Amino acid sequence: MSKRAGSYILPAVLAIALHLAVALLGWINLPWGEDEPDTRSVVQATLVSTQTRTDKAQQVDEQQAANQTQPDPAPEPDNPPREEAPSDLEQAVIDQASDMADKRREQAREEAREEERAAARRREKEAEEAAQKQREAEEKREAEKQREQEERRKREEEAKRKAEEKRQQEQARKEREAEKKRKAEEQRRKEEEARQEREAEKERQRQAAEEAARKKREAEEKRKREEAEAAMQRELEGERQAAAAKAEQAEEAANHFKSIVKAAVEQAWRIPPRANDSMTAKISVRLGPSGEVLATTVANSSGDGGFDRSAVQAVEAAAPFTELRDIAPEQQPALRRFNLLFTPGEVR
Amino acid sequence: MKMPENLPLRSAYLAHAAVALALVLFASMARADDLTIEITRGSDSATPIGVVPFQGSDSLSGDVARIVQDDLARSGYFDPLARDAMFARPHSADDVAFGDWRSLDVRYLLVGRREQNADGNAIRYDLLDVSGGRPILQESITVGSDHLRGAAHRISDAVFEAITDIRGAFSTRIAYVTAQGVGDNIDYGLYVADADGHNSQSVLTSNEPILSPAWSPDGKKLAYVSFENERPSIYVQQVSSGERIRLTDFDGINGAPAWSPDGRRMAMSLSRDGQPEIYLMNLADREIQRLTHNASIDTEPSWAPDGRSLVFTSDRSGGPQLYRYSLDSGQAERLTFTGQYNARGRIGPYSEQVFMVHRSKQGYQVARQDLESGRLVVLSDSTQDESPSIAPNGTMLLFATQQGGKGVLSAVSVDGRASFRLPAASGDVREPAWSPFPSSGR
Repeated sequence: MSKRAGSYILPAVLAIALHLAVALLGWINLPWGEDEPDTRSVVQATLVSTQTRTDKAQQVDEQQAANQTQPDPAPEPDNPPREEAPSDLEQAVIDQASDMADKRREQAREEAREEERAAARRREKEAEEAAQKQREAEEKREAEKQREQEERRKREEEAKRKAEEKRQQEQARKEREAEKKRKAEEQRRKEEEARQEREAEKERQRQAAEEAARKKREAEEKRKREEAEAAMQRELEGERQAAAAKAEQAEEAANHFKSIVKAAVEQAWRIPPRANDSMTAKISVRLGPSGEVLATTVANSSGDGGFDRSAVQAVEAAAPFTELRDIAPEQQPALRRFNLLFTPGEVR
Repeated sequence: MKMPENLPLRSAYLAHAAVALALVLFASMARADDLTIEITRGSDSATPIGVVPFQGSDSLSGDVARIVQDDLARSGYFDPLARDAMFARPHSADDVAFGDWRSLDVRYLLVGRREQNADGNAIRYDLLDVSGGRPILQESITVGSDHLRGAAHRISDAVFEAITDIRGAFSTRIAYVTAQGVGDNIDYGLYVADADGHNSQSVLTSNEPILSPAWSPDGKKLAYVSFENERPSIYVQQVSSGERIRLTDFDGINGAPAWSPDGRRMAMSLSRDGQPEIYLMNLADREIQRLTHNASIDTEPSWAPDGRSLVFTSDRSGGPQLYRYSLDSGQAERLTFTGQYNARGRIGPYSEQVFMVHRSKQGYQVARQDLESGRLVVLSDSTQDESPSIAPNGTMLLFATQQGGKGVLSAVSVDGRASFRLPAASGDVREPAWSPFPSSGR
């Protein structure tokens, strides 16, 4: 690719160079092209003087031509020297004419005068025309310049105005855009708010719905749980009742046996005279299968040997507790070992 | 969402487990903590006991079993079975059919027999627990034929203590004063007898009044007030020998001697400084120390068992009331507040109670006051009681009272359940004093 690019470089350079050359030529060519009329006008003036002038005038002409050609490069600035030039030229012609008049004054005076006057008139006219033309040109140029300036100014103003307009437009556009943007923003915000509101509402509704669903679910769960619980309770109750019935039965039997033992022992207990309310003796009793006393031991002494003995004696006197045999065999073991707490509360 | 379904299920398992656990615990608890039955009622009637006549006692000059039976009955603790209610008369534990005695609701059974041992005559006896079907006491005591009653009282003491855990006081003695005659011809006598009133012996006779006999702590001497020299003096006499000394001869009243528990001092009432006051005499040097300083009468001192305080009677509040003087503080405090008359205070051997003569609506009665609660209980149903004296084991109260216009001795158990009259001595009997335990006994 670079190779191909490289192959284009040379033609491109050549083309650019060519263009530049053309452009340069064109630019250089321009003054020359415009020089033509000036040269022609100078030539005219020279022609006028050639007819009446001397070497000096010729020199002046040449000088003038030289002067004229020399400041040529700029066609526009050429004009003022040309305006003055006629004046200098006029003087020179006058001077030269007066010199020659010495010789042919008389001869030529009239004609010269006439001619001079005609010439002067012609020159005057020409000068006037030239001046007119010059003025016109000048005016035109001035006007042109003015116009151009005006145009430029206008253009500039226009441009400025346009720029301003554009700026304003831009500003307005920007403002509009800003406004639009703001409005859009506002709108968006409102929309966002509305959306959020809607969403919040939706969320609320969703939550409410969820809450309701949850409550319902919980209620349902609770109901189920309660049902399960109730079922379990019923089951437990059944078990409990069975156990309770059994326990109750056992307890009833135990209580019955207890009451028998209590009554019998209380019947048998002879409270010693020295006993008082503060005395308490705990007697542990072990019964045989038929309710006979296998062993009695003083578990907690009252501190009074006679009192303890009376308690032990009461148990032994009340024994055997044959009612034990009426109790279900599985309950008997629990009842074959008990404590008796002797406290003299009541005296028969 | 799975949990709620599982939850009841799980709790059900838990609940089942809890029930099971509770049952197990209950069962184990029931096993660990035995059934306890509270016995709060009982009979205050005396314990039935069978005292079977001893084998061979006929040959002796007395019925040992009868003496024992009477001793036990008087104590108020026992209700001996009548002899004619006995199915059998065993003499040793081997012969006893417990069932028979159980059927008679006899709790204890005493059987005995005469035997010869190396020291001569002896009595072997067995005390049996009828309810438990086992012997409690099996002993043999040597006895001279002339000390049969004493042997019987020793058996009573042993039986009583074996069952009640209280030392028997059947072998102790009593002292009392008698008055015989009328008008100016009255003979006064100081006697000592067995605790059952038997076997009385004269210690002193006099034409003048004898008052306030008091035993020395060793039970070998008696202090008393005699008017034999026209005015009262305190004498101390050796019971066995009759040897005596006059301890005091102060002006005025010399009365109410009371030996301190250690036997070294004697409290008394003297009016040498005016009205009667409580004094303390050191028996070694007879130095006296006045304890009370009061414008009223202070008399009848009695020692607390610990020897650190004295109870006495004073009318400083108007009528006679009991006060307690502390030897530690030198201060007296009033003890009795029930009724207008409380006198002759005696503190029981366990320091829990004070006994006294209390004037009630019925009259003068022996009474007991709980020292802690201050509650006063009348013990006797007689109305002219005086001079209460407590058995050394604290179970009985001996006092004098009137019966048929003359003074007799009576006894009541300290709980008031049992009472009995001592055998009538001749004349008017007053001022009994129960001896301490014999010093050789323990």
